[in-house]
Amino acid sequence: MKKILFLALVVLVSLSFAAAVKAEEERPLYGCELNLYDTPNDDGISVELEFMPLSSPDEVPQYGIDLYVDGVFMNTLTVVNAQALFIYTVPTDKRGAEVRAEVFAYDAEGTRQGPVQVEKAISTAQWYYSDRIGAFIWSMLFIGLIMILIGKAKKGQDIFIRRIAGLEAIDDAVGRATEMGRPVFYIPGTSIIDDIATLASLNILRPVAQQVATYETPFSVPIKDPVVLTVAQDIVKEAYMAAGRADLHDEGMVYLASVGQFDYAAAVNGAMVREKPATVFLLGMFWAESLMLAETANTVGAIQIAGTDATSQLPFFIAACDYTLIGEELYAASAYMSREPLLLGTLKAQDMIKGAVIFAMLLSLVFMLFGIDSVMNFFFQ
Amino acid sequence: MLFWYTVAVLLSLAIFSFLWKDNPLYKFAEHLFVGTMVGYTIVMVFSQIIMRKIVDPITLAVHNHQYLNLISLIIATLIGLLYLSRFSQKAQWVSRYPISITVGFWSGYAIVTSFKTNILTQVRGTVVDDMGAPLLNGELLGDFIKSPSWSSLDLAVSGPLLVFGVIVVLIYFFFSIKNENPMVRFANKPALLYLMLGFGASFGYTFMGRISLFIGRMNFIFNEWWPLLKQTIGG
Amino acid sequence: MKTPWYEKIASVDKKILYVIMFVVVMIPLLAKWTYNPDVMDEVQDIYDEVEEIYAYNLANPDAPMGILFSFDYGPSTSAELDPMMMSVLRHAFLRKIPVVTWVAFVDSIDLGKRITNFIAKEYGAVYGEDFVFMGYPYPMTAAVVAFGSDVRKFLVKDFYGNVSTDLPLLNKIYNYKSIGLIVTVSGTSMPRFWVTYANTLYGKKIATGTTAVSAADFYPFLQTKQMIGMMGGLRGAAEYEKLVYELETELIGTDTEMYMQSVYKQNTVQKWDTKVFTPGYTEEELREHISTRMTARTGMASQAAAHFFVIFLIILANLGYFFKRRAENKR
Repeated sequence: MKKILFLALVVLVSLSFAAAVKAEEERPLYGCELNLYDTPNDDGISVELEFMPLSSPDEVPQYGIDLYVDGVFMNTLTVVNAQALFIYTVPTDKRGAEVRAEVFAYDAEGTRQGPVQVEKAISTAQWYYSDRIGAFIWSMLFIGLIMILIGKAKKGQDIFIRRIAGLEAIDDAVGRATEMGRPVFYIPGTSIIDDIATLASLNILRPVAQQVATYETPFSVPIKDPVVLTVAQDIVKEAYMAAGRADLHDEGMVYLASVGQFDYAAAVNGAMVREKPATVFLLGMFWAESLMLAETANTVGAIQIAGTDATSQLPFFIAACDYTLIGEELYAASAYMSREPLLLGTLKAQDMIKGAVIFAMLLSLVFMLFGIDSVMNFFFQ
Repeated sequence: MLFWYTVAVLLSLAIFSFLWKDNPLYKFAEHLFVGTMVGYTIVMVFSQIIMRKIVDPITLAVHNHQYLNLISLIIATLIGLLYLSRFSQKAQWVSRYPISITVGFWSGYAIVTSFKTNILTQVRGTVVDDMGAPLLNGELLGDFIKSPSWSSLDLAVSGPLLVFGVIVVLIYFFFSIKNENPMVRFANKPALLYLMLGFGASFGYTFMGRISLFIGRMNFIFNEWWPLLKQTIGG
Repeated sequence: MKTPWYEKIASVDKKILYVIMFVVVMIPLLAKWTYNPDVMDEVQDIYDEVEEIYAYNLANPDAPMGILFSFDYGPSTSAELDPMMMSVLRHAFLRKIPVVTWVAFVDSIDLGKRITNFIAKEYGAVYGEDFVFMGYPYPMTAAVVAFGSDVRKFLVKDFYGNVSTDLPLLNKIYNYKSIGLIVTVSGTSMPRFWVTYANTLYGKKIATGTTAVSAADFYPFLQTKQMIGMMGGLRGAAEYEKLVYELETELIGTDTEMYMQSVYKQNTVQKWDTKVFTPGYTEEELREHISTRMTARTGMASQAAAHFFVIFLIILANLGYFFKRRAENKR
């Protein structure tokens, strides 16, 4: 209803504007078009003001708009008559406030005339932000798909994930460390636990730790974040127990190297130079420390398996490491290795959403070729 | 001032000495760095979080007689303190309450926003540019055919190249389709090309960043510390 | 058998390369060469946005727009990011735009405080009226949401322990309605965070300063105008530095030293809080204030030299690799 009203107002404004242009000589003295309405999609603490001067700038060089909130004078807006639409948001600082605007015209001598027009509006809050409907539908679709597919995976339905090159290398890499009698380093990124990359890395940590335990290879997991530390400690402990080698597990395997970015890098580099690992896993989120770690691992002669979703760090891993999981391949690897229904379902849902996005994008592109943008606006508001 | 600047210079040099090889000087600097960092964090967390986020609001609420505010602050603080139960084997489960509250808030807050920011707006940017003109634009191609030049070629092909790149790279990251699928096989090579070009550009930028860090340190040593040293010794 | 040249290239000791790189970087730095960059659109856009806020504030002196500066970086990336932060801050203070600063990480608190005060001092800005430093608004997400309604309820005190509602500036600028621009300078993914929350939720304009390492990540957001502009790496910093230098020359002349000292001569009133900064300069301080006006541009000369050296190395190494492969194929 409001939209129709607003549209009608816009039409009215443009019609009167057209009329004003048409009847150039008949311009009303001190004429103007003031439009006051509640700000759409807000929390009810402002109203919108649109003002269009209609008199010629010679007669009325300037307008003044007095603003009152609940009858109390707020301030005066000064509008230079540029024959252009003036837009202003009037703050009310509370809901349900009545805003009154009075337009005064200043003639060529600067005398204040009027009020020539008075308008009122009440600031109201909206329950829902209508511009977000598109995002809401997509999100619901995505969440729905994830839930359905996780349900399917939990019931034991097979969800196919293709083999990712680089995963085969994990076995060999751990085997190599065992043969050389040197430790395996596992660095689960330098981010916090909320980071998806960290979670993906911790999922891969479990099978790696299990393998390391089976082969009785020394293991070292330096960590940057205290919360990641506690989670990683549990994972490694469980993995050693699952491998039946709880006797080999040592609390000091997973340790907090440091909490700062470069001091962490310095600490881990120091550890690598001293312990000379044969294999280094760099999986998770990395920043500028990525190359420092990869480079040091390279100088001590370690095989490196890297993976991150940080695009800026990928070039270094690709250049310096033996195997690199690019971006989402890290998540896929984590789902593939853990076979966890949650991850499998999510991955499948992601693929489906990607398909839907490509489809919607192609459709929008085709329609845009013919100058029709409503399809695009429907999908990607 | 000179003393602290000199300490900074010596520590910088000690860290740089790692380029030569691992040595006690480097180790000393490393340990000093790690230790100072931890100390600094503890002090700052106390003064900026515990004082500013708990003690100050509570005392102010008492002072201003805002009792409803006070109650909500105290309840929130108590829930937050449940995190500490992680230290006890027996009561560990209690810490799940604050975690679930945080995660619940976060997810509700982040899902739709992230989806819009990173997917919807970005895909829109693959259909039209920021002025609203379509990226697949027949007119621009027509312009190029009419008057071929480098700039009109650039205008005509950059949009389609972007669209093509987005599609093939998206297909490259499909994991639930077999490697033998013709679509995946078709997209594989061009997608890798796009990815590697992107990584190349990123690499160039990163190299610039690394050198900048070094320049920054050298600038400190030669343009700040050295004049200060000269001045102090000379005057 | 004699080792062929391409084998020698492949086995050059890294330490030699470090030494050459050191020399290459040092020469322009010691000779004080400066680099005069062409300003790219994404940097110019930020500058223009600040100028627009200035024009808006001239028209609305009672309800001015402020700029929120977020120090989203730590000391480790300050070599690249300090010059950016300083340049945009200088621009804001030159134009008397209200400034609110805070930091996103624990290890940036000291840095954020120091740089805010350092620049404020140059223009005689008064704490609480012209600028405020809010310290470390942990957790950041809550802080960004709080700015949507009233930040004074979330941050009841500023860094120095003043009650927020007592600060005149915060009584004018306490939510996004009066924030014209958010400047996030970071070597992390914080700009993405700002885009997600402040831009998508509140429609705020985001200007980013970032390390060269992260610059490539943010181009997609520039294309969609989710970020209005970006300064990438030392080059971006040099460009903004140049723009602000030109503006400063226009507004206060070339003798910045005299200008800075005159600020504290004219006013004998004790309006400056000594907890924030001491009015007046020592000779050392003055030199520091002057030299930070060209850090990025001096750095860029070294940068350019280093880039040429590396391009040369890349070509050489690839030639070596090419000939090595050819020799192996012949065998």
